[in-house]
Amino acid sequence: MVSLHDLTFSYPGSKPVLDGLSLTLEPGRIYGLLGQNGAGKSTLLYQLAGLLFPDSGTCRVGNYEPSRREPAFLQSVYIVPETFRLPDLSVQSYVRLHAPFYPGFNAEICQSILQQFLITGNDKLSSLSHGQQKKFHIAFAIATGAKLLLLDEPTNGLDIPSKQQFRKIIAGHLREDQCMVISTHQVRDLDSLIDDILILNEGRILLQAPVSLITERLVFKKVKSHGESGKPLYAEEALGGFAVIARNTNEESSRLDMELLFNAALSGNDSILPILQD
Amino acid sequence: MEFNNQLSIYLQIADHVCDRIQLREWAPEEKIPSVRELAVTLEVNPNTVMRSYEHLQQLGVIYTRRGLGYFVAPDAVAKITALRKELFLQEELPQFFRKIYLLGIGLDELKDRYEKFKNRQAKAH
Amino acid sequence: MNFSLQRCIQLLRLQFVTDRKIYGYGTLALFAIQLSVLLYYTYSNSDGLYFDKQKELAEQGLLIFNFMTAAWCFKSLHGRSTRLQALMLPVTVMERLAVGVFFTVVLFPVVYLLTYLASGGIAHYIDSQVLQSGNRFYYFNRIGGIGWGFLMANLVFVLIGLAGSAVFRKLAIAKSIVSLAILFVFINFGNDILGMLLLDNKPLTESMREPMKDGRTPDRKSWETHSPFSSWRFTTSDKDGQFLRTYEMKVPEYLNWIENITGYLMLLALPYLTVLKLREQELS
Repeated sequence: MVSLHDLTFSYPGSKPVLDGLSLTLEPGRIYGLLGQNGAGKSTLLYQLAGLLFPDSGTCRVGNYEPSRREPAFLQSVYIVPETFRLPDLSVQSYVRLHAPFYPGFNAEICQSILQQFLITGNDKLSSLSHGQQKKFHIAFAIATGAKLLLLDEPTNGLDIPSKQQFRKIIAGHLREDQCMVISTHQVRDLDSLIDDILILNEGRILLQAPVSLITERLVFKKVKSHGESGKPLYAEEALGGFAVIARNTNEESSRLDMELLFNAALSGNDSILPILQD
Repeated sequence: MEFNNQLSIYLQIADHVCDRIQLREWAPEEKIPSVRELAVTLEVNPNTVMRSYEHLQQLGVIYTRRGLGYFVAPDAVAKITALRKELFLQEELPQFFRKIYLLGIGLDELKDRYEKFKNRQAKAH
Repeated sequence: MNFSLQRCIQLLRLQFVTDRKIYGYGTLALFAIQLSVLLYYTYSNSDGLYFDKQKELAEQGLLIFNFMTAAWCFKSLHGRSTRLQALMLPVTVMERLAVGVFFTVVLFPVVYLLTYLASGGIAHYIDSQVLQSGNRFYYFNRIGGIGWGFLMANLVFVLIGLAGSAVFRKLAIAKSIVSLAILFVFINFGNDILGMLLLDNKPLTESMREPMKDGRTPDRKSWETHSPFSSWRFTTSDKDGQFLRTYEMKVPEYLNWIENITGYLMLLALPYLTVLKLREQELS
């Protein structure tokens, strides 16, 4: 569905943000894009949306080259940026005016998601709180039926109940033919939703792996002392002991600790990444 | 549902389903929620629920009817009890032994307490 | 080519409803400006608001108005907050341009005419009824008088405005005005040089040197008008720079061609630049 090859991009007058990045994404999956601030998460999403053009390398989304921005491509990709401003319109006029641009738009889905978010048609978009606006935008994005949904820090600005609603809505609406990329640094909000982890570092994908594969090969646990789990690959001091990552030798089942894995991957630890690569 | 941080999510979901069956909330031969429905309730990725259901199917706790969805196996409760007993004896009991050994608690002392506990349970029912 | 009339109509509707307040206030402001300018001339001229003055003001106003609205045309691509969504809207560059042209060439001029009829009507009423000046009312009723030149000037202004709107993001209107000025200075400069080359290389002929009746003798020549005007005139003057005779000359055929081709190329280059720039829009 998405394939990037050796993609390089830099903003005018600065060093490359994306530097020889290659990536393949499949439909029916939710990708969690992790990276430090300024690692280029948004830049990568903008490349996929055709909002920035690669300096070199190729970028293909479905059968399209994003930078050409053909209407059929724009109908099949929707991006919800981290910050945005919605026009001075009511909820229903916004939907009425924008929906016709998306042939796959499903008004019922839109209506039902807005209802779950407690947003009504007569609400003025400009008078909604930032969190409410974000929820509206997410609802609209899902209702477009876009094949590739790009969400940039979607849970930023959402309160706790809204984050729950957000997870329910994503769980309930992603179709087999859709692919979703969620960039986030608030891993804990979303880790139960994510199929595949993408870690972006120094302009490249440092790690791409399904959660199931990671927990098959690695085990994440809390131990009281270092000795307890044999020789861990990576350890971090935590409340009441250590959080460790170890090789999964006895088919143990553990819950992936994304934060721990992220820290381990960025720590320059060279024993973990090879285990996850085929 | 709050997931704990230790067990992988798909196993926690499987546990959740087993609890419902053991508590008879979902009766044998009854249809259980679809993958999508359970994913929404638990706020997790549908693919993960799919994995849990496949796991439970392998264990014979649930079965699928083509085009109709997933159903509780007739002997699901017995199977779950057996599985959980096995799991307890294999994983939790050794840890329990380790603790009472470290704390110097004798089996006699435990036996007394266990008898009292059993009585209380019997009265409650 | 990928062009859908239906999407154009959707985009038109979207822009119209989204910016409805700006259009409303803009119309009021336009009316207020027209009325104050017209009233100023009504009271400051001893002849009141005479017919030709109305015509001049109405036409120049339309020219400026067209230019400004053209430069404002791709506003949604200018703002930081609206840009991303405007770029992600499933429309082609040609559709975006078509809607922009419809607004600047059809809708806004109609609005201008309507507000002018109102403001001009009020000014004329005051002029004729209160001040009793006896002037006629100009309401673009001398179609022949509008003329080819005025339409061409409008076209050039609109094309430059549109190009400016596509090229510039910040202060698009101001920068378009500056570009327009630079372009005109540049064209005039080019024509001046061309004229000088043509005139200075040719010495005064015998007949031009012929003394005037009062005995003054022509000594040098200088341009009165040259291109881009169709009729070229030059004058002769004596040693002290006193003006003597005027000559009208026929423009060499080849030069006519060069000028026409350059002019039309420029007219074509502007929309090309507009489309190119719209296609190249990136977020950053």
